[in-house]
Amino acid sequence: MVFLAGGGKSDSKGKRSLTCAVWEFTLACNLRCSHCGSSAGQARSNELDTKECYRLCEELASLNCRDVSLMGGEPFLRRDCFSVARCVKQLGMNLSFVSNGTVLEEYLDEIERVEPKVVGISLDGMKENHERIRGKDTWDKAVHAVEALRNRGIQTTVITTVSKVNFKDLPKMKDLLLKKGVNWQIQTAMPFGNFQKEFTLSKEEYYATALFIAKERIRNKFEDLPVVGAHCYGYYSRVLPGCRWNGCQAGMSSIGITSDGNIVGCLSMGNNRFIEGNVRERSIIDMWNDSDTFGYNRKKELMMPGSNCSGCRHEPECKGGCNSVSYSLTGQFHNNPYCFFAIEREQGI
Amino acid sequence: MNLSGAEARQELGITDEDVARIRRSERNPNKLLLLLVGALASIVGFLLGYVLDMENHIGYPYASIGLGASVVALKRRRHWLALIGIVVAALVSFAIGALVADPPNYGLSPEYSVYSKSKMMRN
Repeated sequence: MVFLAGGGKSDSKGKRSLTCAVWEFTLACNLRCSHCGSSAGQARSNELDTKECYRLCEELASLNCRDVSLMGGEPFLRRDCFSVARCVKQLGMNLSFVSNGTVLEEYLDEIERVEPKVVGISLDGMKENHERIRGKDTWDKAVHAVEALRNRGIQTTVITTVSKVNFKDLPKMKDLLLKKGVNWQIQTAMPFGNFQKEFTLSKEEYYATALFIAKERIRNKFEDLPVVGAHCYGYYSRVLPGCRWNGCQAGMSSIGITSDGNIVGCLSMGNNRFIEGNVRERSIIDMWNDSDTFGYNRKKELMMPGSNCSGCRHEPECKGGCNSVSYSLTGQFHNNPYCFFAIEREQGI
Repeated sequence: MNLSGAEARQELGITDEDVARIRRSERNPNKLLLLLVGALASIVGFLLGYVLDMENHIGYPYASIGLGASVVALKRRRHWLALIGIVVAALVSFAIGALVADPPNYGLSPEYSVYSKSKMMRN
């Protein structure tokens, strides 16, 4: 069910291969979503300029990075979005966008020309709850954006971030998206950024959501509705299919880049403590190949499991699940309490 | 307010039958693939036995081990069950070897078979 991030392996010279760069292209956003992990709104005062973005693209290409995802904020609010997108493509990397869908229709021609691998559109429930989270008059625009992309033959993924607010909308959303030619990614909102902890799904609700994903994957033909759970859904279930997990990939095969050039393992970690450096001061190639960076996932002595995972027979492989979930819920890495294996054990499933 | 597991499943329209179906899908990831790989492994195992000793039918244990290995490969999360499967398959094939072989030799070469020893003793 989960995105099983593979890779994270090093070559014969000990260099790790970078698979995916998730780039907060700007923090500027026209929405103020109540669950936004980045607390997006205003652009950062010192965001990378276009030339710096080009240089960063070249460095990513020289690391043989395979996928670059431009997100935000709202990436299409930056005027040079498509110049940088073209640069990504010209350097031979796969390009994707993540957007809230509200301004996208103005840029459809340019999106089509730049040939992204996929465009992700956030749709957080049916109209009422989506707009409760994202603001008035946003649902219709997002739905139209999905339709417009699909009509142009651009691969589209609807991204739904689930919390107590929109949990019950999932079956209706399935009906909305079925046979529409889109992918559906479901992920769980975690308490960082704007999101209030009280709206976090309980373990039971989280597990039910995972069952829902599994049910829809079995019940529907894959081409009718390819539905996947994100990295927050796992691990080692005895009931749910496809739950192997070989550890958090932050700094192992993927990185996050903030709009002011800071490098982190994952943008969802949302804490300045985990910044490895800034591309204005140091090449991303150096940072990636430095044996002292991303220690929480690369150095065994820093990877001690927390109380939720200590003693678990899957811990040596799983390494405590998704670190952003783990950190946001427990304040430490390698200690993710939202774990299928643990929940099933607790509930006697 | 937190929903209980049953309430949460109900809200999402998940029935007990759905859960049972999910369980089945996890335990049988791809029956056809399992069958094909198992059959292929069995053929390879049998051919190996055929090359080594056609008359004594020692291919059967090889075949079963091949089959068992494919079970392990496909169902890596059920190690103990796969191991028991290999042992049972090996025993069954041994028994088949003993019945089919002429003289019956339990998969061992004739000089050391129980049958040969008893025959030698009688002689």
